[in-house]
Amino acid sequence: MSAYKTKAIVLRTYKLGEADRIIVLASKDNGKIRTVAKGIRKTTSRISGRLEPLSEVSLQLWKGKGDLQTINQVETINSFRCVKTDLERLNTGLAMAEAIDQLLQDENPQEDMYTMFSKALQWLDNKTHDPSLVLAGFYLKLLTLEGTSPTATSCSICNLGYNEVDLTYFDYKKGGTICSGCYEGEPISQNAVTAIRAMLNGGLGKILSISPHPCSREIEHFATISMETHLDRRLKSMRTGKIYLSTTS
Amino acid sequence: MLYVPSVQALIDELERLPGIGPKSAQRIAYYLLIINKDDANRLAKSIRDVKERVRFCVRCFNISEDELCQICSDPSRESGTICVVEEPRDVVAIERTKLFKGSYHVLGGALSPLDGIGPDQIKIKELLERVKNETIQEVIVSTNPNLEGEATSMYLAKLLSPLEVSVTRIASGLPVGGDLEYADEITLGRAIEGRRRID
Repeated sequence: MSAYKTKAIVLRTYKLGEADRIIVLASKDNGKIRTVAKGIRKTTSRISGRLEPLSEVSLQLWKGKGDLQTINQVETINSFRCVKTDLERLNTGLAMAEAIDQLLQDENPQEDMYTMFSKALQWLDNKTHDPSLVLAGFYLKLLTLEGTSPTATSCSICNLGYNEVDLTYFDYKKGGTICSGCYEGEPISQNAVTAIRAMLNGGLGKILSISPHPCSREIEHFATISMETHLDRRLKSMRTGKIYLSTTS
Repeated sequence: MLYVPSVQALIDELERLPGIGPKSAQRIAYYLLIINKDDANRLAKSIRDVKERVRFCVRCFNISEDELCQICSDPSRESGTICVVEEPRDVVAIERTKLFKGSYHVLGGALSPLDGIGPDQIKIKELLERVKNETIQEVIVSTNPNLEGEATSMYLAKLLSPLEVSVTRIASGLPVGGDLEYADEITLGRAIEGRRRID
């Protein structure tokens, strides 16, 4: 039993009992941790505003005998205000959190993943960046970190490079882009292939600076499909969010 | 089995209630065993009555014993304002203030993308119909001031914007009687944003 400090981003929360909440955190030093925040749902709680999903916080936690750690103190590092006041950005942030929730292991430190998530939320908080491109870039970088990024430089079936053949199809299960000769998977535009290739090869900042990007939705679609295939499950926030974004656009 | 079947069945049923663990269930079951028969029957009747009589108001989806709830059937209520809340409990909380004289609309939850709860899972379509069909001037979104509640309010504001109706959000800020120095920066920030002129 001990108290310790860490930085973390709130992934999601669940109601617990009358006035408590379980807070699931992506921590910098300790992987995914489940904590309990006592009395947080009461209007008199002094920490409820700090422990909303997608907030980056500095915490003091108490690790006891049980599975749930207790939150003693919380300070806000970044509340990502622009993300939380824009429906599309909020939904994008939640889609990022859902992927992290699936990939990050309990109490297994993955500092790279935490840093990447924090950085992606900062990009998303910048109103000049297209949320679809930020999400696509984040998913592709996350897949790279997992060692399962799709290829966009050659055909996944015949291995011919993008200088030799037109990469016009995409199938993550096959490995990524596929040439017109091999003809498998879903059609993809040349612009989207070029952007995905740039994103995977250190050109994410340059792609994000193109706003609005002509094929941001297409790139987001292929990055999401890749992430969902890797996770072997549908991302609920993407599906639900798309429904309500489409009804208000 | 440690208990006779009828007592065990009662303990099992009580354990299914929210916040009741095995020990609490045993304690309540023993209490019910020792109270007189009339008291126990009154409790059983209340549970039966609530299940048989209570339903949702066809207009606002608040809990009701008739087709329309007490608020919707009250002619003295203002008809041009709708206060949108998440749960019937929130109606009771706002009614306690005695400051709101309009009608309500109970959504039955809030948008929660992480839980897969979208507009079709809550009573948003019904709210849209009410705003279109009734003479509504203002919709006050009183969902909880958390991420799900804020997402719902942003969604409703966008959805209702083409209609000629004013969409407002309840203010959030400092609790009465609290100390400023203990407020978190988000709540305090909102309190400053939502400041009002002192007349």
